[in-house]
Amino acid sequence: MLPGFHVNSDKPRDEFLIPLKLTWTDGPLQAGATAYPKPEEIKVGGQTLLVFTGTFPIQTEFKVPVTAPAGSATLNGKLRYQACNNEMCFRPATLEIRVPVVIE
Amino acid sequence: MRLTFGKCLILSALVGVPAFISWATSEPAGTPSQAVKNPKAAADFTLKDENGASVKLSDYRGKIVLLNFWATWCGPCALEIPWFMEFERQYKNRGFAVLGVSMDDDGWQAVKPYIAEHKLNYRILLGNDSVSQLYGGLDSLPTTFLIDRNGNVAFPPHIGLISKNVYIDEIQSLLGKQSAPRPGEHPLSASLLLSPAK
Repeated sequence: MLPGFHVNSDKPRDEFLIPLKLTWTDGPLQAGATAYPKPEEIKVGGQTLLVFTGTFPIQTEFKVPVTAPAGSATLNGKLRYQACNNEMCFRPATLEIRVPVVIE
Repeated sequence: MRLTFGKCLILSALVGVPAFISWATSEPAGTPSQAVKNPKAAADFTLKDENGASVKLSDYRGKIVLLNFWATWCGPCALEIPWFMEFERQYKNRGFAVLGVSMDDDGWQAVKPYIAEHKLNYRILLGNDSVSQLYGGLDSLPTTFLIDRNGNVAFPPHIGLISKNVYIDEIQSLLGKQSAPRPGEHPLSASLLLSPAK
């Protein structure tokens, strides 16, 4: 994220805010739970928000089913996010994620 | 069967949300803006309100309109909403109206609960991409236009949160102006009708 910008955490306090959400489509690997970092608390106009800023990790653990075919594969996911700074917000967007892996 | 990185792969996705285009607001927050020298007509549109009624922007001709594009997920928008409610109360009887156009993708499902929870006292319409294009794309919210009694955009648009006093200054400057008389209308008779009783 550029300095001054934030995205809502995966669990924003306000029900109307759009959470950060990473999802994976079915593929050769089994996606487990996704772990998000601890959010930062920032104050915007008297409201305390739970957000992520800068560079931050999101982790998903994958398991390899015994039936998974060996060879190259791609994990496909989507990252839904909604970003703001203290003065304005950008419309929600979805980032396509493609991660190449090799199953041996 | 294994992955190159072991039986279980822990995937760390460093989230690189696409770099945001550097942004310039229409003016620094809190700085009074200058009226547009050659005002252009605000693009007309027809949208539905929460009761399903069709509302045309041009129906408001003759009134000063604060046209606010917002969304329920927009924190800075939420900060402005109490101001707009106050403006609606304070200036409604002087030919002023606030029109909120929600850009929520989830539509009324998201907007109606917000209206109820925040007890909004002005009219809310549900926006769409067509209206968004008419008003510059609305990549960021809030974006607000002040429209004069003749249906023209009177000031540069406010992109992002600005000072409440800027809005007050702009509204009051427009309230102080008489609208151009319409064809067939005598300006004197209009002003007599508006004179307070003595």
